[in-house]
Amino acid sequence: MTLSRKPGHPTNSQIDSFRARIWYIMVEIRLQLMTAYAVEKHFYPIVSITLETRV
Amino acid sequence: MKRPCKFDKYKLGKNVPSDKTCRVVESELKGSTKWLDHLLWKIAQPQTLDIETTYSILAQLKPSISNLFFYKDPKPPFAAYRTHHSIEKILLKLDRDSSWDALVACLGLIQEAKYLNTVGVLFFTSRPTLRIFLRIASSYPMRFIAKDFFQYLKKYFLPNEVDKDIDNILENVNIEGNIHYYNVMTLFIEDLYILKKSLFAPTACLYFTDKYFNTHDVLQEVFTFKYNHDWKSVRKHPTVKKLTRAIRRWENSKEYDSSNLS
Repeated sequence: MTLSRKPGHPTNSQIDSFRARIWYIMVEIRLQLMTAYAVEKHFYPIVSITLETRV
Repeated sequence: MKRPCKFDKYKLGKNVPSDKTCRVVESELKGSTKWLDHLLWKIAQPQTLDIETTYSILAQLKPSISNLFFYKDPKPPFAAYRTHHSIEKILLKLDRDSSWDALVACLGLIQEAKYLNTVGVLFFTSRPTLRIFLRIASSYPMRFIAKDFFQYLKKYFLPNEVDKDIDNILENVNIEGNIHYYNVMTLFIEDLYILKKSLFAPTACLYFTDKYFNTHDVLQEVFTFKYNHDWKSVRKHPTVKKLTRAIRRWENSKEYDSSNLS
């Protein structure tokens, strides 16, 4: 069974909505950790490469 | 640099990330896609799944859990490999594990029971599923969707016709209170410094806190010492001693090794 993953398409079930939210949270948390690590190590380029989503 | 607004849609669960976005993210953050394709989303479908789909999902769980359902190396048709272990035995193991895989297994049991129309099994599965879910709900990343996901489980999976009290129990579940309680318990175990193999307390530890802090009096006694920073008395408390012994035994057992595979 394949789960739907169409680009830019709205979620068509509650389960898809949960999946997207959990995925976002995991990405967000890890980005925050990486940002914290990069700031600590004065190694900013990592952050700008990452997804281009965070300063 | 500005973040693309599509990420706000993922945050709210309005859109699912495309394959391309997943690939880009995965290349930077290894392991992020596995959360999008987790078996939980496949098994937690509102409609009853056919038995081979349910079994193929259960067969993909970590070995310590899939071994409860199947004889060695199951291949399609999975039904041919299904064990006849008692439902109580399976649920006891899942309860002790209390991981995401354990929740998938519980929902798999419910899907199986719905497909085979074995109403008696539903009587046994609802409460352990709820217990396991509440433990997971206190951990990352489930806590962020815990409230909504509970409503979803309450609608499609947890009610059953045989257990008359379950509706009452479900109505009185306080998700935020549970998350707070289990957070306190997790921090308590971490503060005791009894874990040797992991920095953070796994959700399986919450099975032991549930088992030993089973009365309000014990809880109050121990936490009065804790809030007075009297850690010597906390550690000497008989219940804490039992808890410590149980967690250490668990950490040194095969059960611990297998619980870290997922």
